[in-house]
Amino acid sequence: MEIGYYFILSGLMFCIGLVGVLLRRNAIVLFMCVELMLNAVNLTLAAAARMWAGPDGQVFVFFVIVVAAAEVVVGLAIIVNLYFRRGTLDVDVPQLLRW
Amino acid sequence: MTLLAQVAPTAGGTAEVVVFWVFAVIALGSAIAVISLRNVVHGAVMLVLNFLSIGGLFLTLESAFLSVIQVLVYGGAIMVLFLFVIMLLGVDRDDLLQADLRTRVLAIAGGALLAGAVLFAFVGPYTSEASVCGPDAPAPGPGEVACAGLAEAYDEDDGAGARFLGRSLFTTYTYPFELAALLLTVATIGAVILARRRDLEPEDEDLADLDAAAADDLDGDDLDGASGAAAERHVAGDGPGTTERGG
Amino acid sequence: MVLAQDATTLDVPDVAWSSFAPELLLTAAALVLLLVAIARGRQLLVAAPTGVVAVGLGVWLVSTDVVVPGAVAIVWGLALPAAVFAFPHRGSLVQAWGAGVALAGALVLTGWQFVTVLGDGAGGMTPQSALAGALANDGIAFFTRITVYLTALIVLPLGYGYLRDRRINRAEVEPLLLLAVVGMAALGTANDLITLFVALEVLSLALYVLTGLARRDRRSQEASLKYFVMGAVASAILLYGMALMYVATGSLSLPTIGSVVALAGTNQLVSALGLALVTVGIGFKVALVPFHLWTPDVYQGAPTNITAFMAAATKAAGFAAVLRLYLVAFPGLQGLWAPVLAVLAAASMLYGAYVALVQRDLKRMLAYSSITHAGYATIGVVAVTDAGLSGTLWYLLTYAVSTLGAFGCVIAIERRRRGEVALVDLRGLGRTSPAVAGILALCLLSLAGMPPTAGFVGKFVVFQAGIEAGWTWLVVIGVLSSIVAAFFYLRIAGVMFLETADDDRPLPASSLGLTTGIAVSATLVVFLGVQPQAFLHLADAAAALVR
Repeated sequence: MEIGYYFILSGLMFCIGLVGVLLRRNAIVLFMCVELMLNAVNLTLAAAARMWAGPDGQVFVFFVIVVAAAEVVVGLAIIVNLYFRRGTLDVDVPQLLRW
Repeated sequence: MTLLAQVAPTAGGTAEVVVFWVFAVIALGSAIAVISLRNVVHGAVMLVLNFLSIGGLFLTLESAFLSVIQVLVYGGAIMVLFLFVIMLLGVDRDDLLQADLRTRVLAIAGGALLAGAVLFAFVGPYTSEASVCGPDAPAPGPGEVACAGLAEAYDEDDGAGARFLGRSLFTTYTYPFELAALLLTVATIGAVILARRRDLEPEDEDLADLDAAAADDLDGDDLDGASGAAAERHVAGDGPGTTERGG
Repeated sequence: MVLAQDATTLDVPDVAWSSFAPELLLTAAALVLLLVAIARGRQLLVAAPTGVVAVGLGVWLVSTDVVVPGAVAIVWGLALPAAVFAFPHRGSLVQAWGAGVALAGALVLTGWQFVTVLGDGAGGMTPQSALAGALANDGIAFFTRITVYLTALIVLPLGYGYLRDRRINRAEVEPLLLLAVVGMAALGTANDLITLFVALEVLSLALYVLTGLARRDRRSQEASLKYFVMGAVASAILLYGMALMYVATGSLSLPTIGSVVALAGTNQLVSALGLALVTVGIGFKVALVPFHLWTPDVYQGAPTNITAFMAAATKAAGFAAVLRLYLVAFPGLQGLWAPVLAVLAAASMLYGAYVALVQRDLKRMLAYSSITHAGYATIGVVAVTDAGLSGTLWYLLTYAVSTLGAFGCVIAIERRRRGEVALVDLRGLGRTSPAVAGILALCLLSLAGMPPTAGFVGKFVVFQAGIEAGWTWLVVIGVLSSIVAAFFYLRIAGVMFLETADDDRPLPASSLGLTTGIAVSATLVVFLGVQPQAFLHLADAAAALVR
């Protein structure tokens, strides 16, 4: 299997995640799109590890998974808190991303 | 785990090609479903499917150990947390998809731009004959990239790559490993701070004083601040079982 | 790679404890303070054994001729039980003192590192990498540590009374602050992509939580969510850029990437794409235009002492990562990134100054000013010279002390009014409380870059480095933006000293901690402005990189 297809697949997945982040306004869905992006990165790293025959990429995947887990804990706590405070999950993306 | 590594398609075989395309289609399809489904629970389930297919792709990448970790941590822990929160808040229907046309065009244009750049960078040098992984591939031409493959790098009895990964993790990457421990500590403390309903130590102020402070805090808020605070008090009052949508 | 290697022959890396001694001290302090917080009424049960262990460790270190770290351990080991004795029923005072002594100790340890481990006296330093290359002790690490520890040390007393006033003085705040500081210092020392990323996440996660500390305040909660969402997306983009860098170069170590990236065999397209994504991700973290969108809302919503900490320390740590990424890993791609960063810097300076003009809220105004200052600091990065490097490091220090002073005054004026100090609130402040007004004016002048303040020297050094490196147009824009900013800051001074006060305006709060914090920052602003030679020399000596 040509290694480039893995990179292209993960690149497309990353772009889908990015589009999702820009389109969706529900905080939980938005966060799921971020997870999608992180997974795309994981795929790139694992494929690169195979390409270079080195452990670095695999170790990086390991760390990305740890970071994602930690981020989920804090992120969902923030989301739950805010939901109880104001009763909506709208992060108002159009206002946030007005470049 | 060794068993898993044996099941995994060997490098360069047609089995790898078939497995890759199957999982690639599932991964892309579920990713599109995640960003387009309006029902949040369905989106979460699609995300699980995406995680699992990435795990499958790890198998074809000769990274069986990572595959197991991916399924356990992402498919198990992280998604359960997501679904738990979705259920806790009772927000299965998402009515917030309506981004205006300008945002929509901008978002899709941005995504397409990045996708185009990725394709432009990878098609060619990384998809030539030489970039097929394993020792059988022809030598790379100018500008082409070779893929070494991991089979040589692993120990004989380490088909899944766990020892390969572990050795590097505890020698070269000791420092970030310790930092990751710190990261988990921070996440735990953070979750405790955010989740606790009542402050532990109001110090030498009595409760009445604290309530006055809460009332004082409110008067700068906008209109629905009061109902929000009411919801918070309500939640603080009767603990579990409150799935009422505040404000 | 040796095949079938026995598991027992693992090469255990040589742990150079001295290379991360300050972070080690702060981590230990944070964990102990966390235990103290949990123990509540029985604090001595935690403090006494900790003290015994720390003093024992210190005595052992001194007996093995490692005098300075030993002394620091002994002092901290004695300070914690002493604080528990002195304030038996004031848990958060114990926390503040324990954290403060630990931060002071970390500053001492940083100096010790510089003098005995790295330096040959005052003449310069020999950069070292430790722990299998994961950690670099060079000029960036040294200056980042100084700036971050100093900032945290000033923020502690500034925030103590403020958090109490707003009833958000949670016992976990100090440990979390210390862990954020550790993350920032680790970011300053990170020498491979994994360490850099994990350290960035440690500080980001801690700051997301600290931003949302005021749980009854909706604005704080929204700021926290906004910061988190933007930060998580930025992290993902940065991470993808790093992954592409690894695809292109096959290494995660920054110096190795630096030596490989410019070779002919490296795929230039992939590394360029990686570079672009890294620039976007890190641009978010240091808030360069057009990636600054989170800054005003987050700075306004967060508790003011946390905002001060974010503005001063996060900027320093973020720029440490910028400097190390661009000057160590990507110098070979300078032709690609230098013009882009220059444009971003110019946009930040102009946009930040322009938008700050129309702000009514003081915290928001300072947020836009922080965007402007990110632009100034970038001038030193695009110069890609030693002068630029030391200029940026020095600039970050001067910005940190000035902005701390300004936010300290905001805290004093704010009292319990929660994130709303409008311009009209400053009317007549020069009559009612001349000290606060004077110091606020001084810090604003420093932010605008007027002599004889620290900000002037900072801007001067950075501009000089920019001109020497041939970025004249960028420096001209910087000067223009400074003039715009100066106009606005002078208007604030005018409001404070020339207009008359309303009758019912509450007087600025004052407490011992607040006064101390503001006084220290104001002193530093003046001192670094009048006597910059010693520190400038230090910055020049520290402009050495692990390459």
